[in-house]
Amino acid sequence: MASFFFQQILNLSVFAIVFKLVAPVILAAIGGLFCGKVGVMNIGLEGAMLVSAFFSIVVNAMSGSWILGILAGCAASIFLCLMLAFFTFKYKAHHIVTGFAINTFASAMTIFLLQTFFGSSGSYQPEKVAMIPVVNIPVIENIPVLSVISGHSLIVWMAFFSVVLCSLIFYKTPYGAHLIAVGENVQAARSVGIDEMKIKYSAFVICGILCGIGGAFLSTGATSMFVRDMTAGNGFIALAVISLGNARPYGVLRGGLIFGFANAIAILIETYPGLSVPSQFIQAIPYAVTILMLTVHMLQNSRRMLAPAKG
Amino acid sequence: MKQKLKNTNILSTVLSIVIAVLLGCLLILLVSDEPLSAIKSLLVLPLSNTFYMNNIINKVTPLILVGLSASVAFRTGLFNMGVQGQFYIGAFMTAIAGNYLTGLPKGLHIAVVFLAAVCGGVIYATVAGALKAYFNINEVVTTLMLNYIATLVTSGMTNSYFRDPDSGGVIRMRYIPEYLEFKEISSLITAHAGILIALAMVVLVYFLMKHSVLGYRMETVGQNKVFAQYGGLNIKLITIFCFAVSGGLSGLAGSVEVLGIHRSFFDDFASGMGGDGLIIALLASNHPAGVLLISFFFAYLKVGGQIMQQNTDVSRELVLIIQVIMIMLISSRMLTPYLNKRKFAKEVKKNG
Repeated sequence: MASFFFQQILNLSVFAIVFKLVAPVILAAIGGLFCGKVGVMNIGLEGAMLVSAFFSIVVNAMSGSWILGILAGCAASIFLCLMLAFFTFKYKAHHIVTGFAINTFASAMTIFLLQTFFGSSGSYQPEKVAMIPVVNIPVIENIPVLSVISGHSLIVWMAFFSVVLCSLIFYKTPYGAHLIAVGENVQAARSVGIDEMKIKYSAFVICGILCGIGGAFLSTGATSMFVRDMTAGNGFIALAVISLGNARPYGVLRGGLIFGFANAIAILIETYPGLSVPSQFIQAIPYAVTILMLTVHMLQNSRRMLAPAKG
Repeated sequence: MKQKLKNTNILSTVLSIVIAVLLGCLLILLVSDEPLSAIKSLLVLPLSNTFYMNNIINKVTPLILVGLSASVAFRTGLFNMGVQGQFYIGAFMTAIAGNYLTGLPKGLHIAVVFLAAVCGGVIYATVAGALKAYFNINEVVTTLMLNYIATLVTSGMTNSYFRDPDSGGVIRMRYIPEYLEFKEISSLITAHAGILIALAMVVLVYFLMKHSVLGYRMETVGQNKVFAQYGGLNIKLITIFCFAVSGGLSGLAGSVEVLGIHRSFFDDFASGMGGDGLIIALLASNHPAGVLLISFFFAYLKVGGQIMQQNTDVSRELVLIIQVIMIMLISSRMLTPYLNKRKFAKEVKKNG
């Protein structure tokens, strides 16, 4: 069995699986990070991704353009995020409650539209989908080991890029400083004339864009169909990844990759020939791994706090 | 003053429900080719004969229990989003205990079946409670993850190890022995006896929350954690206890659903149950009596949605959309300031 895994890792197919799994999670997590910075734990990530997955594939199939698909997905996702922001900030509803409502709404609406317009309650599989392109890097794709970084979807690159961009925005731009100020001390932010609401809503718009891209990847990049509730907890895992990364952009990347590798190993076990474990058990591994990682992470954190300071 | 506030709250809840239903009807008008018959199926037909009415009672039974489950957690200031998972574990344990402990005397067997379901729910919820209490891991994330795990693991177990060989294309376990099944209440009310358990639980939870020291402590933790800690309450223990009670109620809901309706564990048979529980608890502002009323309303909408899906071209997901609109209107208290203003104006007019 060990040799089987070793072979798979040598084949580098693991990386392809990891990146594919991790891209939407990282995108959503970075989006959630923006909301987290202004003090909202956005559990609506799941719903935002779901509507984006739906609208991107519908527009994609109608227009034949993946760019329009992503844009439509983003628009739907931004709309949902703004709705969440509106109810949370304007009417002071509890963000977990509104987030939960948003998720239910997204799930119900996509199924409702699926049934109303496509007459199916399970899935929608258009004949022609313009898939989000794969980036093949000319020379590198022929070099043995380096070829790992070639042949991934554009969205995978966007996910990594979003981490870098997020870090730059947070720590190098005035906007990032305002964002953090609003999240940590609203009074102080107000007193220096920061428009609190503008910052808060803008964070949700950014979150909407990122969730939109992640959702579009699910339906028009990783697959070419929409299945009801196809996000399958990706948004929730993104929340776990945020706390794994101590709410820092590169931490999110690290947390996401750990999660991705754990998952890829699970998938390899699933495809291991002659294994008779029910497939559902293996599908449950990512969620169990998430809880386990959170526990280990929190244990480490509390150790660190308890340990006597050096020097 | 408190009484007045309460009245406004109830009024705003009712008004939110009315607005949500009206918006739902508007949506029907937009998408349907036969809007009038759809609206009639949704709102009028459920109350038109005893068959549908009994259907409502059957549907309301698990809803009350999951609603209570969620409300117990909310009162303690915790979000138990894992009602769904605990519900499945309860249902699964019921089917296992019902099918595989058949050597026991009948009376004992019934008790063991309930015990297994409740213990399953309690233990499963306590995992999230303990992680929250001792490691301070956000209970929202863990309970959501545990939902997926419960759904998948029960499904895998049913598929691979406990599947009834005669089940044909349906993935389910063997049917439980007949003496375990709930009987019909009477010849007129043909709904199963689970509703009596649900009603008993409403009373029990009411006493726990309103008239017991433990309930008072839970509420104190929910309203002000720092104060509770200062007052010497063991927050960790109360957190775990709250999850245990909540999980037990969810597990019981699963058990009642299996014993009363399905008579076996089907793969992923009630996927919206956890969400319904949370929404009901929120709409009822976590009051047990409110949970009872809102559950009945939800069951009525559910039966209406089913009839609508059968008779017309509108899918029953519309009911979910109506529920979401309700929850948005109520949780944001959009209508309360408006109602308060009106009330104030009226009083000014009366008193001069």
